[in-house]
Amino acid sequence: MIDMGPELITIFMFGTLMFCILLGYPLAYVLAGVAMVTSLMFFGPEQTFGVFYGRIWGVMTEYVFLATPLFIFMGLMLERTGISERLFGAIHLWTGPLRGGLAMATVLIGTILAACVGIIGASVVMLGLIALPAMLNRGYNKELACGSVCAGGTLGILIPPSVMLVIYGPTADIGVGKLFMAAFIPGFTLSALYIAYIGIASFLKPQLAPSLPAEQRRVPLTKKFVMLATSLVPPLFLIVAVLGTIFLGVAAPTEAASIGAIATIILAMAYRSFSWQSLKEVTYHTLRVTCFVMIIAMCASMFTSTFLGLGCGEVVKNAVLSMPMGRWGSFALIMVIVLLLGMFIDWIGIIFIMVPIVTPIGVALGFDALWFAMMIIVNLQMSFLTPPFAYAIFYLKGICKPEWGVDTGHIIRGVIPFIVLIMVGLGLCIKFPQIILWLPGKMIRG
Amino acid sequence: MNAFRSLLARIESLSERSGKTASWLVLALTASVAYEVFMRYALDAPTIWSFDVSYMLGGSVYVLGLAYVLRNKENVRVDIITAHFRPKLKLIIDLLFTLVFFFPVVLAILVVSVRTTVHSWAIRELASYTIWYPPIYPLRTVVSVALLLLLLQGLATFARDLLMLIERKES
Repeated sequence: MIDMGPELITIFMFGTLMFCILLGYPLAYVLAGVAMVTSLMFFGPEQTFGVFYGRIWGVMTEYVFLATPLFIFMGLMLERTGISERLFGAIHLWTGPLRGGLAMATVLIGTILAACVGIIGASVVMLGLIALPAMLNRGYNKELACGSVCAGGTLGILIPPSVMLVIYGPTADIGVGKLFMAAFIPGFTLSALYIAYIGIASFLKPQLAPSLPAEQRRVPLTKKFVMLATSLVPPLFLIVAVLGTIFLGVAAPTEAASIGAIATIILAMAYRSFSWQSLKEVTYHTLRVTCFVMIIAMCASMFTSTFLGLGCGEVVKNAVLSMPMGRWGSFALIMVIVLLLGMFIDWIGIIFIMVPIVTPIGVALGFDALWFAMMIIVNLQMSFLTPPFAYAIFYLKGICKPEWGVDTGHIIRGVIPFIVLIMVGLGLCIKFPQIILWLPGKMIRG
Repeated sequence: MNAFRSLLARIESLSERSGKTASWLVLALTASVAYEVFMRYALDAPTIWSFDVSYMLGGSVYVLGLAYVLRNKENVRVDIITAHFRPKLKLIIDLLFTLVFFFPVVLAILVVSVRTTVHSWAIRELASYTIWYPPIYPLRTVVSVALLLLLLQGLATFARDLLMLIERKES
C-alpha cells in the first residue's frame, strides 16, 4: 500500500495517461499500462490482473457491442456499391443552379449516407473522392469545399445507425435504440445548419461557390426525377431495413445491424459490385477496424475500473460540482473537457474513459440522462474536426490527390465555421431540449 | 541472424493468417444473428442458441484479430507530437513502452487467462447468460490462444524495432 489520496491518484492517472498518449504509443496499451501501474500500487498482482481479465471477458460477452462489427461491415460494403456517385449525380442536378449548390449537395449526401452507415471513414472518403473534385473543377473555394466534405461526412457517426451510439449505450447504461432515436433530430439540425451556412455564405460572396453554368442545368425535369428516385431507392431500402425495425421496436440494434449487413450484400449484388475478392477485402478490413475499437474498449475499461475503484470518480465529481454558477457551470466544464480531449485523443478513447466518469455526474446535476448523453455525443462531432487530432481531416488529407492543390491548411481553415455551427447546434439543444427528447418519446417500444 | 529473421517472418505470417481466418467469423456472426431474427419474427420460433453463439463468435473476432492489427501497426495512436521527432527517438520510445507497458500487461493477463482456461476445462464450466447453458471453455481457450498470439507478435514487433535501431546506429 502506498499512502496517496484519491486526489493525487486522479492527477497521477490522468497526467500519466495524457503524457504517454502524446508520446505516440498505441492508445489501448497506454490505457492498460497506466491502469496496471496504478492498480499494482494498491491491489497487488492477483487482484489487478484478475480484474483486467474480467474486463476483457465483459467486453467480449456484451451482446449490444456485437452491432459494432456488423455496422462496420455494412459501411465498408456500401462504400463499394457506388451508391454515393449515383446520389451525387442526381442531387447536384437539383441544387446545382443555386450558388453553393454542390457544397449543399455534399452535405445532403453526407446526411443520407449517415443514415445508412455507422462510421465516418466511409462517408468522408466517399464524399472526398466524388464531391471534392467536382467542386474544385467548378472553381469552388477550397476551404468551403473541404469543410463541407469533412462536416457532411462526420454526420455519419451521429445520425443512426452509428457505431458511436452502439458503444455509448452499454457504457452509460442507456438503451442503444433510444440513443438512435434521440440522435436523429440533432443530426438533421446540424445538417440544416450546415446547408443554411453554405447558402448564406455563397449568396454573400458568389466567388466562393459559383452556380452551375446554364448549359449543364438543361436537363429535362422527368430525367431529373427518375435519377433522383433511382438513386434514393437503395439508401431508403437500407434505412427502412435497419432504422425502421428499431423504431418500430421490432428488432434490437444488434439484430437490425445483421439485417443491414445482409441488405448491403444484396445491394452490392444488385449493382454487380459484389465479388469474392471484394467480400474478402471487406471482411478483413471489418476485422481490423473492429479489433482496434474493441481493444480500446477493453483497455479503457481496465483504466476506468481502476480509476473508479480507487475513489477517483468522487474526486472528479466534487471538482465538477464545485464549479461556480450552479449546475450549468458544471455542465459547461464537462463540455469544455470533452471538447479539449477531442482535440488530442480519439472519440473511442474519450467515450470509454469519460462516459463512466461523467454519467453519474450528469445524474447528480439533475439532467435527463438521455439529453445529457446526447449533448456529449453532439459535442464529440467536433472531435472529428478539431485539429491537431481530427479523423475527418486525416481521412480527407489521405485521399487528396496532389493535382487538386489542397493542403492541410485549407482543410483546417475550412472546418472552423462548421465547428462553430456545431456549437450553435449544442446551444439549440440546450434551449430546446425537445430536439433530443421528442422522437424517443414517440418510440413504439423502448 | 538469418534464422532469426525467418523466425520473425513466420510469427508475422502466423498473426496475418490467424487474423484473416478469424475475420470470416464476422460473416458467421451476421448469419447467426440474422437467423435468430428470421426465426423469431417470421416464424415466431426463437432459437435458444443464437445469443450465446453470437457473443462467442463476436468475442472471438475481437481477440483473435489483435495480433493481426498489431502486425499491421493499425492501433490508434496520437502521433501529432512524435511526427516531428527523429525516427530513432520514435523507435526508442516505442521500445520502452513495449517493455514497461505491453509485455507485463499481456503476459500477466495471459497467465490469468491460461489458469482460468485450465480450471474451466477441469470443471466443465457452463455459460449462464441464457437457459441454454453451453460450455464456455472453448471461448476461454480462444482468449488464451489470442493473447499468446498477441504476445508473440509483440515480441516480433519489438525485435524488428530493435534491429532497425541497431542498423540505424551502425549506418
